[in-house]
Amino acid sequence: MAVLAPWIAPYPSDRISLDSRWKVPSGGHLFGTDELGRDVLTRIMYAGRISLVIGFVFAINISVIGMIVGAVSGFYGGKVDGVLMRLVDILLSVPTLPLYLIMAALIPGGGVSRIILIFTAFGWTGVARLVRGQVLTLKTQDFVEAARAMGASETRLILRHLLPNALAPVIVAATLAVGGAILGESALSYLGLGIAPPTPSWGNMLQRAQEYIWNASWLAIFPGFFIFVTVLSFNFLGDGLRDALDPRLKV
Amino acid sequence: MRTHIRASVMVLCLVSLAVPVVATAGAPAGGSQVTIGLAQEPDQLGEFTIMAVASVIHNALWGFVAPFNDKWVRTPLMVEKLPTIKDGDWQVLPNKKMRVTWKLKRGFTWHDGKPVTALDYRFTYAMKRNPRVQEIQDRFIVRKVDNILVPNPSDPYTMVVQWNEQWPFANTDPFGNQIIYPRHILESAYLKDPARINRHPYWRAPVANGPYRFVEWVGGSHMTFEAYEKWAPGAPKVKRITFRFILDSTVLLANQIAGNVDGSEINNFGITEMVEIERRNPAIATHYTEALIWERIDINLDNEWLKDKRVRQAMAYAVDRETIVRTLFQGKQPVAHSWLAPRHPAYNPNVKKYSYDPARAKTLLAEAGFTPGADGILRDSSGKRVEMTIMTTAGNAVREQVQQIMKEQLKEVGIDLRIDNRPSSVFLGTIAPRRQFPHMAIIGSLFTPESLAYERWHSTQIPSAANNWEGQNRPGWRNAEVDRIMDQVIGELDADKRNALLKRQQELLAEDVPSLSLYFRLNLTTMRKTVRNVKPTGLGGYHIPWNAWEWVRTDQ
Repeated sequence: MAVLAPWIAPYPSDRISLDSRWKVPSGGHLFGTDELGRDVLTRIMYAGRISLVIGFVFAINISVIGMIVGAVSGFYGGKVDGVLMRLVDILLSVPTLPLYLIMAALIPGGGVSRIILIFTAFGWTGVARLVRGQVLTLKTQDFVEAARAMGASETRLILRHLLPNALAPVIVAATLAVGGAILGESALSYLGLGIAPPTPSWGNMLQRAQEYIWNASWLAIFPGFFIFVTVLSFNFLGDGLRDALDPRLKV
Repeated sequence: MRTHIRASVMVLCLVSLAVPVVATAGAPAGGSQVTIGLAQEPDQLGEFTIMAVASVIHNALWGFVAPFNDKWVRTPLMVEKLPTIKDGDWQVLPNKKMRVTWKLKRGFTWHDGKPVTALDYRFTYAMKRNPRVQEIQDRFIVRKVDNILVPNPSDPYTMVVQWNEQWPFANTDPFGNQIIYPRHILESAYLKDPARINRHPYWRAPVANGPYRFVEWVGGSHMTFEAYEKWAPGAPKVKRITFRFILDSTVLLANQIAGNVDGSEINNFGITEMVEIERRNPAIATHYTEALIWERIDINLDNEWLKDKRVRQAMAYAVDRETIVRTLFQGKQPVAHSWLAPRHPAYNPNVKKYSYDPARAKTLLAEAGFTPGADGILRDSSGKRVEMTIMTTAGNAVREQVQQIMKEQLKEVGIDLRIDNRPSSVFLGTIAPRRQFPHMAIIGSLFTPESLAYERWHSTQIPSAANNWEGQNRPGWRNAEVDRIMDQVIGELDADKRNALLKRQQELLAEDVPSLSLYFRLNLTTMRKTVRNVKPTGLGGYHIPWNAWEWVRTDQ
C-alpha cells in the first residue's frame, strides 16, 4: 500500500485544506483529517514509504558495514581484531537514545538520509559481533583450510567462503533491525528531532497527534496502529527466518 | 536495536504518564494555597538566569519598584512616588545628563528581617555595572547610569541616580532593574571575587524582599513559597504558592483539566488547548490577555536573493496571514503589520499592509529577475533554483503549522521552502542570536509599553563576532533613517515626540520588510475561578503572580 501510495492514495500528498480541519473518519476521509485539513489515510500511506525506507536502508547499511568489520576482525584477529572490537565495545556501552538526540541536534536538515546516517553510525555493532563470531568458528573448518591450501586469496576466502556461510544470522538480525529502525525513528520524531514536517512519517504523525489527543484521537490511533503492526510483523518475520535458517533448531 | 525498542517503550510510557501524574498530585493540606503549573523550569533565579520562566517566579519572590498593572500603568510599590520633571525630583541637566531622586518606602524588609534600603539599590547597581561580573544579560540601560548616591547617611531611604545621558524611563526603573539584591548577604562574596558572584548559592535559594518567601526547590518537580507575613503592603492572603514544573505541555494540559494545578503560565498552550480547558473543567478561568508579543519571521538580509526588497515584499504578499490567524487561532490573535500591537500608544495603523495577493507577489519576483523553471519553481538570473530554508524551535506545533501553510503558499509563487527546525537550546542559543539561519527564522518577542527596541533596529546592533554577538538586529537591517530615529528616540523625554518617531520607524519597517510580521500573540494563562483578584498584564516580565499578595482564595 505504501509502495503504491502515489497511485492509490485518495488525495495528493501534503494537500493543505484549512476549511476541512479535524474531520472525523468518514466516507470522504476514511481516517479523518488532521490539524491542517490533510487526509490522514494519504499521509499514513506516504509516511509508510518513509518509515519503511528508513527501516530497509538501515538494515542493508548495518548488514554491509557489520559484515565487513566483523569479517576483517574475525579473519585477521590480533591487533586488528582488538582495535575493532574495542570500538564496538565502546559504541555498545554508550546509551544510544541520548546520542541520537545530540547527533540529531547537531546534524542539519530533517531528511530521511540524516536519520539513516545517525542510526547507522551506531547500529552496525551488533551485526559486526555476530559475523566476527561466525568467522572465528568458520575459519578453522576444513573447507576453509582446503580453499586456503588451493591458493585462494584472503579476499576470496572472506567473500566466497566465509561470508556466505555467515549470512543466515545476518539476515535474521537485519530483519529485526527493520522494526527497530522504524521504532527508533518514531522515538526521535516523537521528541521533535526526526523527519521534518511536512514530510510525514508514522513517528512524526504520532508526535504531532499528542497535542490534539483530547479532541482528535484518531490522529494518534492510526499511525500508532501501523507502527505496532509493522514492527510486530518484522519481528515475527525475523523469528520465522531464524527458525528456518538455523540448522540447530531442526535437530 | 533493543535500545530502540526500549526507547519506544519509554515513549509509550511517557504518553501514559499523564494519568499517574494526575492521580498522584497532592490535595491542598489546609491553609489557603495555589499551585501554578509552568512548562519550563528555570536554570536559577535572579540576575543571571537566562530563562523567561524565572521572571514568573520573581514576581512572587521579589518586591518590584513600580510594576506595570493590568492597565499597563506603572504603580509605585516600593517607592513613595515616580519622580517627574515637573516635581523637580527628575532633573535634566545641561549636556544632557540627568539626576533622579528616589524616596524609598519604609517598612520593606528582606526575608531575614533586615530592612531594604538605598544601599541595596546601590549595591545591585554596582554589581550589574561591573564588567568583571559575568553573564549579565543586558547592560544597555545600566551603562547610562554613572552612579547612585545616598546623600545623607542617616537617611538610607533617599537615593540619587546620576545619568550620563538622557533616557525616557529614568523615572520608572531606577537603573534598568525592577528587583534588587541584599547587600548584607552578597557584598562580601562580591568584593572578594566579582567574577564568581554569578556562581553564588544565593541564586538557587534567594533571600528576597517580596510577598512570598523561598521555602524549597526540588529540581525537576516544584518550588514552594510561603507568605511573608511582614510584607509591607499587607500579609498575603494565600499562604502558600507552589510552582510545579511540568515540561510537557500536553501533560500540563491534563493536569490543568484535572484541576491538579490551579493555574498555569508559560504553559505553551494555544487557543485550542484553552478552549479544551474551558470545555472540560468549568472551574478554571481562561485568560486571553492582550499582550505585546510580536510573532514574526526574521529574514536574513545578507542572502543574495533576500537583500532585494522586492523579494521580501513578494513573500509578504504570498503568505495569507488573515487565513492563518482565522483558522489556527479562530481569529483571536490579530495579524501583525508591524512590531507594536494596537494597544501600544505608538501603534501605527497606517503602515503599508500586505494583504494576500499571489499575483502581485509573482510580478514583484519577475521584476527582481526571477523566471519560472519547468518544475514551477523560480530560477534566479544565474539559473539557480529558488530554495529557501525556514527555521524555528522544534516541537512548537503552532509554528510548524504556520511553516507548512507557508510552504504551500510560497510554492504557489515559485519558492521552494524547506523546514529545518532545531531544539530550542540550539535555535535560541546559537542559530538565532548568531544569525546562522540562511534565509528565515520564526521568532517571538515580548515587549512592554516602555520597549524602544533599539537593540533590534539599529544597524550597530547586528550581532557579529566583532561585537561579541551583542544586539538583536538579526535580519541585519541597515537603514540610515531608522538609525537616526533610534538614536533620537532613546534620548527623547517627550512621550508624544517619542511615539511619533516610533510610528515613522514602523512605516519604514513595513516598507523594508526585514522581518515579516505574522501576528500578535495573546498571553494565555489559566487560574481557578475561586482565586480572586488575578489580573494578568500580558507584558514581558509581569506575569500572573505580579499581584499575588492581593489574591484571595474563596474555596479554602
